[in-house]
Amino acid sequence: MRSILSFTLTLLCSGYLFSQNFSKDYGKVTKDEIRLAQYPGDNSAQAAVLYDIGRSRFMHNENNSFDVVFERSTKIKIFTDAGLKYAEIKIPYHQDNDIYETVTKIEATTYNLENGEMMTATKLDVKNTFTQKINDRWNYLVFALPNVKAGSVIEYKYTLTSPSKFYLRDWEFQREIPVKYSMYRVDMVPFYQYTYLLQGAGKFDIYNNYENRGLVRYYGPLEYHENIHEYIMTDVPAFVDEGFITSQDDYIIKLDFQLSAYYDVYGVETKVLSTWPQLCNDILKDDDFGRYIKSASGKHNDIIAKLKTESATDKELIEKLTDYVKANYSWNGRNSWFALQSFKEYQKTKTGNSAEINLHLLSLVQDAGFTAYPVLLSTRDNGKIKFDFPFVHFFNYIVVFVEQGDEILMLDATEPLLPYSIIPPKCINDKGLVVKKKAQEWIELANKAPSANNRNIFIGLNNTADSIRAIVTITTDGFEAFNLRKQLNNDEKKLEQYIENKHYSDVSEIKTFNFFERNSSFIVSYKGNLPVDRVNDKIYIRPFINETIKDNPLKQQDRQYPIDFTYPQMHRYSSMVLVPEGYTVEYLPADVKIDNNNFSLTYNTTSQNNSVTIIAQYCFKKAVYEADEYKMLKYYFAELILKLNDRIVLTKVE
Amino acid sequence: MLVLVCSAHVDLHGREHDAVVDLLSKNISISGGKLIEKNLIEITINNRRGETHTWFYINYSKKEKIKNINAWIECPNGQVVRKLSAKEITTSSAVSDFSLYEDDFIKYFTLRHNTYPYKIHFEYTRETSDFIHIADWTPIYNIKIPTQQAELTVDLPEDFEVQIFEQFVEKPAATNTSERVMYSWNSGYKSLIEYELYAPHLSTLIPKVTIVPKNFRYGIPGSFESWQTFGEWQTKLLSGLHDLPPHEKMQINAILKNTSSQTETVELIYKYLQKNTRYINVSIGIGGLKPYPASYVSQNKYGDCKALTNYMVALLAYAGIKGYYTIVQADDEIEPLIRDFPSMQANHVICFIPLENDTLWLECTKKSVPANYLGTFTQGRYAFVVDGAGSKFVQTPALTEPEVRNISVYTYHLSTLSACTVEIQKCLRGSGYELFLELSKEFNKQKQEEYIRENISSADFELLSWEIGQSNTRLPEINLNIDMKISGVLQKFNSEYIVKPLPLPLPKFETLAKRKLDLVFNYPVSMADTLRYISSNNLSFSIVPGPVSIETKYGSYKTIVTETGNLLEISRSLVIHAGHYPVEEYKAFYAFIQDIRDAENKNVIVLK
Repeated sequence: MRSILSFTLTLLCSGYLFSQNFSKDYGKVTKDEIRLAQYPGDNSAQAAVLYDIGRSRFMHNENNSFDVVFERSTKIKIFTDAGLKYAEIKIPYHQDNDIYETVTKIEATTYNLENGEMMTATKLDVKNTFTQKINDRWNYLVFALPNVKAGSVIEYKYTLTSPSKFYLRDWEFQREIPVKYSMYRVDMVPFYQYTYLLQGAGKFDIYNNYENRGLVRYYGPLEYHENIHEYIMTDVPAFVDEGFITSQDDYIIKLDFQLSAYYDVYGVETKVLSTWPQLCNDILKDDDFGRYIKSASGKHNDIIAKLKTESATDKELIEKLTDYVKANYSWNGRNSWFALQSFKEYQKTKTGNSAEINLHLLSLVQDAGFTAYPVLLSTRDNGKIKFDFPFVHFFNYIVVFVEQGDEILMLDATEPLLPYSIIPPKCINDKGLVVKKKAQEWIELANKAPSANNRNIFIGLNNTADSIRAIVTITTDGFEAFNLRKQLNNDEKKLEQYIENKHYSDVSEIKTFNFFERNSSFIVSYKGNLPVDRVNDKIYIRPFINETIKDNPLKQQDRQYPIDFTYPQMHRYSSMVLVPEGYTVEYLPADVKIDNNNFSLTYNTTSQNNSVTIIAQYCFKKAVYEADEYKMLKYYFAELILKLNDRIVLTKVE
Repeated sequence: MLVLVCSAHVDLHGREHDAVVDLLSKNISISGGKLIEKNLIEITINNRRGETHTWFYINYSKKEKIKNINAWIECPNGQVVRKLSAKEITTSSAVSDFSLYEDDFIKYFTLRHNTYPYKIHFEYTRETSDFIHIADWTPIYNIKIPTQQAELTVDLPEDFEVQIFEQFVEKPAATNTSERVMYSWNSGYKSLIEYELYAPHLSTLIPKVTIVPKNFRYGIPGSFESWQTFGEWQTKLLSGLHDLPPHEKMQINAILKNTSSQTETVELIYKYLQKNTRYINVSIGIGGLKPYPASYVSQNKYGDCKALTNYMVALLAYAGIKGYYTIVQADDEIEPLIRDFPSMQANHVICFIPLENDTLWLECTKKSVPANYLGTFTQGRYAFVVDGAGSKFVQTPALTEPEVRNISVYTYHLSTLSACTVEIQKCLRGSGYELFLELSKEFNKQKQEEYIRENISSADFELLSWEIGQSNTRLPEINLNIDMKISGVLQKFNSEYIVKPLPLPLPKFETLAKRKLDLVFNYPVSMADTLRYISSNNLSFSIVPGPVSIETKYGSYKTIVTETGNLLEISRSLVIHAGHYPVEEYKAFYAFIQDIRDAENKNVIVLK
């Protein structure tokens, strides 16, 4: 009922929208725009972009080269107080010795209707713009538009001039507020060739390409015309983040440009866009990659020799080499596919980004005589690799790939809490590129084996049968173990907190096992009391007490994007409830068995003389489920929660 | 109580600290109007976890110069492993998340080694000529790690008068020479303070020394000799800032055409301010203390708390009403003002209006609260009213129990066939009102729904509809209505069903053994819930919970149970009185909380 209503409403509104007069000329704002009370089609929008128009041009500069001049003008309608934040503008620009960009010609105006009639325009005073330094390379130019309130229309423009042709400014058609009209125009010159990549949409709503016949331009002896490209999208809905996705960047509608080649005045081509095999070749010669590996090589022969004598097998040696890096060098929290420090500096600082650490590991493993390669990948928050676009900047991480007979090992030395041959969960993102000379080889990064989490519970009642004494042992493997190790961090306070959060009282005998033995299961055990539900002669006990999930993690009704759990999971609960003397089992929950390609659940109870054993086991078999499997997944969670929180009933006999 | 049995790698029992500050030293000297502050930190990193303490930060403003940054790593034998190089230091703007721009900066770096323990030695010098604080010192470098030794020395010209506040420190050793006076304090931080719920403000628990100049020049000359002199200085800083442009005055004339009372006038002007301006913080130079003039707010229609309050005071003055620029230390937790130590002890500005029959307080940075609602941010504490020689302290009104009472009604339609439909009606006040007001005004519908979905229930449920609304925006309360379906409410066991009523959301108070600090409730806690169960399918209530009444010095808990036909109603209320309760009373307080938990745990409804 509701959906039909909103559908008709949308249609009505879009009809209304067509009658609206939205000007796309800078400086022209109509009363209709200011009177507009809601965004047609999205009445919850706090603000909306009425137009967003950008243009990049190549202008001759005094260095006999080109600057890329990016001009942008934007008009935004503010609907509510919550939308006021869209009147605070931040423009990022690059400034260091290599690339010195400038932002100029800033103009901004706020339009209001006073008393519902008279249109007023309040201009931004340029002295109210500020430069905020982000780091040694990047700045923000920030300003807030004046006199903005719910109902205002704001308009601003600026020019950004950059000497760098490498990254032509990208264009995001979609934002967290709806966009009515978005156009990016690039005036290409024949000296630079770009490829572009449109994400989140199949095609542009409008694409125009024509030669600018009017204006003849000269570069040295050459006469040329600009080639105009116009990319246009209209009525782009607001982007909604849904949780359990890799990265917002993977789904937003946007256009990326890559320099693929440039030409000198004689037409000689220098290729920038290469092929994957060529790219592998190039980076192996790179100072911050291939040469870094070389400079690390041969520096640790004594350590390798020593570890060799301590290792019985090849695998053990590889593990020891990984542990050596983990123990002696710490990760500075930054992801990178290339080294920022020289190997010498890295050795001095004892800390490095992910590339410095893992390339070091690679050289050690190679020096020890193994066949090993770097694997380039993009972490989950960095977005997916575009396989049709051989650009190295899509990557932000490297791990080590070792061939061990028929077996393949993937190594990473940034996370001391992981077993040596398991890469961090953040790296599980599609495929990685194995960097071999003149080759293109992709490798699956996912770990197919489900990570297990077992809870063993032993429940006894106290003498007065009004409280439970529970003994709990939690055994975790794989990523489940990693996550728990990381959460507790071998810190007794965090451990206490972890148990207290499950509402136990009188907690005792807290133990952990194998915190450092990362190839073994990580085990946590403790004893604690819980109140029991008792009515007259009956005792109601949830056999899995507070160790179960109670909350359905999938809370939305519907879903647009895939659901990505990172890795498959296997959970097992087993509980033994001692039946106190004078009591008998009155009720046991029914057994259950579900098993299909996506999910399995078994639930069994067995009753002995003075005890009941309940075992439940469930598995989400896939790491990633498609959006159309969402309802099914949500249903399985609902069933699970009901079953895992079911109770047994004990009654007093007399 | 806590025993950890671990692998051979480490013994967790009685374990060493991850990091320890061996020496924290600050050396301040003033000569020729220039303040030079030399800082030295020596910190030992004992293990990999301690590496979180290997990041070092220097915050500074544009008026300060940072010099002589030196840092190095030392092995236990004293050998220097390596030195920090200048290019390892990053400098960036330090703009807090509530600001558009501030001219503050931060320098930071990290230094690490791979064999433990190792010691990092870090020193730097700060220089400034513009200051109203000389020292704000505590031996605590980081609340989570101990400081073995901390020292502060202050070296002043003999005729340079200062005022000193000391807390939990020994009297300083003072040496006088012919021209200089030198003070030195020594302290440490050995038993760590841990976070506890409803604890006194941290500033009241730690050793500290604060030193301010008696006379200073910050924009204009001023004096901390007394609160009056400070008030006079702040008044001078505020003078000439009421420059309302003529069109603004015309607007005010139009609004106030038919007003009858002063209270109404204030409310109308406040509404005008709320409708037309927004909070944006731009802090430059002495802008930390001097507001932008009324003309700036009038033109831009934005400002920070100082600018907006000054503007409000200017508008009121134009309408013939005296309002006061009033400074206050704002936060939900109250940092008590040190009343015998005149100095700048505030982070916020509000507007105080004593009318003939009424006193009004205005928070000028909030667009949607009614006039005279200060809220948890500034309620119930001393504020300093700036009024020349008549500057004085006034206490802001404290939130009372009815003003923070959150009322909820849950109606469960019990069904044996499917999930239960539940209607929830909430009327929120106090912090709940503030939270949901912000949610409804600052966030879009998706974010609101997301918040409700994440926080409303811990069960498998389906949100059917929800609404946040206010029946009267002049009252500081907000309504939240939710319809949902929850599964598993009714559980079947052979021929009978049970329902476990939702417990009250009590804070997780520390157990007796863990509590070290006094309990402080800056305002009362008050909840009134009604759980209504409507049975169907020929089910009738067979066993229902009995009434409970607990009355203590700290508060009360009551439930009333009524059963009429197919309707069972459990009404319960919890009140915790505002107050400061010494830790010696925690046992009694905890027993009160435990009694409530026990009573709620016993609640089970059986239907047949």
